[in-house]
Amino acid sequence: MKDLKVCVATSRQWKGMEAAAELWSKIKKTVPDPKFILLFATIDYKDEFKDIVSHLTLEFKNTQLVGGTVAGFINQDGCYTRGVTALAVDYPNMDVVVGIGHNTKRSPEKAGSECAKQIKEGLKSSKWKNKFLFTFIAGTEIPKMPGMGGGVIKSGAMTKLVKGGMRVSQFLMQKSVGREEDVLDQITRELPDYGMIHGSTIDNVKMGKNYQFCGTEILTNTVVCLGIRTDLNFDSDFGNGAKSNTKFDITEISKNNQIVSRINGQPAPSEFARLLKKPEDLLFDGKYYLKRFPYFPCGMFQGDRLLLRAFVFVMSDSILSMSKMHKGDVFTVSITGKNMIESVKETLSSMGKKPEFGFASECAIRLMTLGSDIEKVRDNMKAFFKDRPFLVIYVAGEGVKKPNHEYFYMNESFAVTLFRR
Amino acid sequence: MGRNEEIRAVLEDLLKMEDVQACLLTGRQTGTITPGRGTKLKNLVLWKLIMDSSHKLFPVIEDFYVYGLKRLYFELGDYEIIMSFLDQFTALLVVIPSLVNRGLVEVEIENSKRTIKEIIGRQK
Repeated sequence: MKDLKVCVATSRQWKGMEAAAELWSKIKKTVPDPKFILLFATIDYKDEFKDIVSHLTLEFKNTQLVGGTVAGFINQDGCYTRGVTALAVDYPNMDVVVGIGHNTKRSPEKAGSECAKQIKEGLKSSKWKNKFLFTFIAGTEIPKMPGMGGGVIKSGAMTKLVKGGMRVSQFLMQKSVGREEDVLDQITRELPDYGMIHGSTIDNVKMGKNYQFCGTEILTNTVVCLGIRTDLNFDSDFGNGAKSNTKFDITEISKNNQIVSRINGQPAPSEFARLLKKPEDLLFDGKYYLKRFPYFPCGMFQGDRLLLRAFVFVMSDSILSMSKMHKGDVFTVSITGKNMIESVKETLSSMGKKPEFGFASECAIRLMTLGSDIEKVRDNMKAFFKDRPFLVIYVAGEGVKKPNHEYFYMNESFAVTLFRR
Repeated sequence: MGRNEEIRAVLEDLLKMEDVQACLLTGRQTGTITPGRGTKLKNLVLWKLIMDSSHKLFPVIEDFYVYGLKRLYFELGDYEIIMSFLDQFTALLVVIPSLVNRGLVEVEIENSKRTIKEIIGRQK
């Protein structure tokens, strides 16, 4: 396509300066002066982030840069859970601007609003009609508190302590669930006519600390956003490969819609175990829970689309979802590894012809589950994109939105945006 | 850089990953190749045992390899050993703590394995 220049580059160099130099040399060959760069790194590079962004922004002075930490990534070069990758784009018929909102865990609505205002203001004089957002928000960080290891707390006293502690930790240290949906609610309310793809930043799925990048800044607990106005067309969709099984009702839930206390009028942990037809002790075995929880998500419908939620933490009387639950019909779901891989193929093929380039956010849980079989996801991407550039990042939560539609926020899913002329 | 040095560099990269406690390449043709830094394992007796005994599995591995054996997993106390085969005579062995996110490590084991295969292929 004339004048559209896209490059997805990878570096596996350990030193920040060397990684940045490698990315720069690869990018400049195809995209000498990018309008924007999306930059992602695994947490192995946390001491090198500063060098990487400083060097890249020094070399690409007119370029907007946003991104963050991911559990891994896939592109034309390969599948990696250690490395740095960048998507660089230049196109004349496109205006770009970045927005940042701070303290996403303490004041998510304010952070979202801050960010949306910068995007709106920055692009108000653009003449291009199609509007799009890439959003990256700090994902869940689990505070280190006594009794919180393993993801299961059986003692009622400890549950009370941890619930109270989490509220304190959320406010004081901003170590808690990500609150991405509270941020996105605000952004999409203020920018309804924008399409969007979202990824929640994450480390190596230990949920210790994650970072966001914006220009030369290395940030925590922020939303960073790249707003675009262009004449390029885009299309977003998602898939998960899940099949809904037994229907159940969430009958008691916390104000933030994430701590489920009662299911079908019964204490949530025991009722959930009964619905899955598994012994409670086995299902919520503290030794294995953090390894096993991805295998029994639940699903709920938003319109006719099934959205998945994973219960990341079990307390004596309640279970904590990674993202918001809706009161009402919910389903136990099942997904096989094969269906996860197939869902990528199905999602892409339902979106029509080959695009100029693509960007996808996929849940890190799927990467954890598939392991080296993630290569089969790459095979599906390559079969669809052929020689065109694409980048898949592995994140803590993913979302998509079409302009003037409500957004979808998911776990354990594959979300993608394709860009076409 | 010679073949063994190139392989050692790949193993060094793998060992730098937070969850990788030890790794080595073991094989009939290659012998045992370890990273220059040795191991992060505190129990050096265990490390020596792993180094000295892993090749003894090959007679069994060769029998199963024709049926598509790709990997062997051992749970060993607080550790898990992953043996990933380049062919029926050569394996990349990686020690990780039990209960870590094995899927993430496996992606990089696969990358290391491919690079080592290339190195060995070039030298043939």
